[in-house]
Amino acid sequence: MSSIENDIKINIKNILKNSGECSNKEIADKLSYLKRESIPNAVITIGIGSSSIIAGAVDTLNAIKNYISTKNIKADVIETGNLGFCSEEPVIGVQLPGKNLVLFKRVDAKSVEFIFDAIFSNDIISNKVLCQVHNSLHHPWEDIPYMEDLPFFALQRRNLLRNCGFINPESIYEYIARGGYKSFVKSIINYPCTKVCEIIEESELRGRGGSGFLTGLKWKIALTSEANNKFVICNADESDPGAFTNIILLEGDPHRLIEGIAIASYATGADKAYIYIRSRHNLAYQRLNKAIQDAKELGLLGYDIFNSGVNINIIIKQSPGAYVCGEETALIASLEGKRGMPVTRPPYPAVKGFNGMPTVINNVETLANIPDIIDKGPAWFKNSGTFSSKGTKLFSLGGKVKNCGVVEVPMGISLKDIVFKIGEGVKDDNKFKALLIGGPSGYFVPEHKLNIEIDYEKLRDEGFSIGTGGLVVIDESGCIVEITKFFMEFTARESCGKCIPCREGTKIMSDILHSVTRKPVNGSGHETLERFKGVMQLEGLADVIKNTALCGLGKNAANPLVSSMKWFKEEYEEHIFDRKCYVNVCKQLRCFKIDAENCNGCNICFQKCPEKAIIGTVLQPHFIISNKCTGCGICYDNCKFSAIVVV
Amino acid sequence: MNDKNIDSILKKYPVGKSENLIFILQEVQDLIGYISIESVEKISKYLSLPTVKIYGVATFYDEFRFNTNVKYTVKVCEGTSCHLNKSSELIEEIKYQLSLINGSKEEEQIFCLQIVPCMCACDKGPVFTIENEYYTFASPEIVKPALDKFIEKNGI
Repeated sequence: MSSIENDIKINIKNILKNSGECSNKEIADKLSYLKRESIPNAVITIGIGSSSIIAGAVDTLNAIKNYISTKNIKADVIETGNLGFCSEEPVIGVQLPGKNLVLFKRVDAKSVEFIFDAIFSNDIISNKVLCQVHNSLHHPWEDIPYMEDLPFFALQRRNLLRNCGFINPESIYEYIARGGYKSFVKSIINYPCTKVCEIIEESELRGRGGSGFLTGLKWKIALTSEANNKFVICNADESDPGAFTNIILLEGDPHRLIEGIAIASYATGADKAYIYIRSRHNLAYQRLNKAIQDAKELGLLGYDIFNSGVNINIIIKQSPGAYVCGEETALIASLEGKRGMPVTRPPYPAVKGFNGMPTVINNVETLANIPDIIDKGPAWFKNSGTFSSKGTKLFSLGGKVKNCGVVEVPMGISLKDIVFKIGEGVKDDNKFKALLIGGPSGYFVPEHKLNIEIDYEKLRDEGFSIGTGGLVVIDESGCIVEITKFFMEFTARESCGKCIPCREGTKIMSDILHSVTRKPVNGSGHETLERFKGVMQLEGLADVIKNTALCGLGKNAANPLVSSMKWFKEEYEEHIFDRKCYVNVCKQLRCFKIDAENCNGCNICFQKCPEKAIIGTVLQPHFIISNKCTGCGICYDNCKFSAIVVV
Repeated sequence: MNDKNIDSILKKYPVGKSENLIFILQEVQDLIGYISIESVEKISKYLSLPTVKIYGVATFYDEFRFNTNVKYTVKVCEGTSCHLNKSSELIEEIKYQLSLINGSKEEEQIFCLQIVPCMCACDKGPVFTIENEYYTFASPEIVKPALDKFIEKNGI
């Protein structure tokens, strides 16, 4: 293995400059080994990433190593990133020489032995197999579905994710063997900076962070701004509840991002680039660090790259964690060592950003798109997608859906296809209620709106937005009011406190929703009045915050509230007028009754009730005064005879 | 004892450049586990920043701790998927159990609770971790046994 690495290191310029067509047969063979087209021994891959580690992938890995050493099998074990199919993890792959790669699902430490016993005698345990991966150079397995045949993968178009789960993220050589860094070398040798910006502009790639601004245009603005220093910042501070698209990319294919950043730095004339990543993503941090070290060692980063006179340095900075730092001006403040508070725009960062210099801030997904566009051309990129939105988009599909994970779909696919075809519908065959698109400042989409296509403009016209790409399915057991309250609490907590509409407004909105989802506690009588007054003000308040807040966090804070009131009005009415949560999620709206037959008068509920709402004497059935009851549920939890029932 | 270590961290950064504040604080916390009063005073002199500014920055972010005793972190996911699977009940229970272990005095706490937005395991929620041990599909009932097991294992 090490000799292969050395050979590539020596011939790196040839390999990358000749656009992968290697004349030297010896090297070509070695690249094909790294691509696992021809392998002498069996190769076992296992997806190790944040989500699979939680599913127990480390134990599985140990079991595999143990199996190989005790049975004395010649096989390479390779740790890859995750495939993105979270609900089937841990996923392992086995490739025997000359045969297609087979993926197995939900492989815990115990099942390693019988899966391997079978496959090494050319048999396959059918209930553990996920799929086989098509390769024209290898023999297929019989009766095993191909990856493209599975519903989860059938409608996906995996460009950004195509290496995730297959290559070793810590090996730059595997990435190079699959065509990596070609685009970067092509850019710095063949194209001037302006040409790269033009290519990206022509491809109509739009920022994947939520705003949808044309990336090429942003680069051009930065390139044409006169300054001594320029910067590129990659925003990897993904911290939406329920979104994990970036992390799959970072852990599964870090070199793709590094190449994207390198091209962006070259195109904008920046010699320093920062990756701003959440500090708790340790694995992604380590893999990125290794990727940068390796790229430096091969001369792909650093000073005077390939004698072209281009200098590019990439530095990783760990974000200390604040949701508002996803906003670009707040991110810059945080990088400058200040409190992460946004400032007014313009001037936009592309003109005046980090340290007062022109700064391009792009999302991980946006930058990961760049190498392919340079390699295959803008026309290829524009092939998929709709009139105004090109390419593919990553979504993390979660909530009450059967197939959970990160999916990459072409723009223009309908939300319905994502939920019911890729996701295979709602878990446990429950009824679908709503789809939440875009995290805590996103929107609720009701069932009759699911036909809408993924497209920046079409979604905007219907009053929705893509956001960062979180899709959460809510089934009939979820309470829309409660989820809205959860999001309002989240934004109120994460508001940086700089502008009044966001700081005070989100707090008031969350207070009003609190009063909607609980019974009056102090019994003074004003609370009912306050509640009605508050509810009447909600829409106006949302409007004010939207129009007057300083940054994106505040402007979008009321989105879930507004869309839930629009599409799920009846649920609000049940909570406000009937004072009932029919799905029993809002605990404090429950009403309790004592079943006289089961109550033996043990008196515990009488003693525990904080509101003195229970009356009765020892050994006689007790009674709850419903007007006094606040629905705290202490009596319900403490009754040993199931005498207290929810009505 | 810590003074020299903090000096060695500071030496890596240029004098008076406040833009490195967050990275210095991160290194201090990695080294001694929290942000101590002494370290803030040292940083203040080194970067010529008032201590109040340093606390202003440090308290803005979730990562920094000021508590001396904390040795172990319990993380619980409050992503939307976990929330749908009733993670709020789990969080209540963990808070309650930790309050029993930690006692009432803040400076004596051994465990600290971190509520994180997403742990990338949306199909297995609710999820919580005690240091490096993962618990998936966690109901409030399993919190106490899990903590007891951890305490026994680590001899706390």
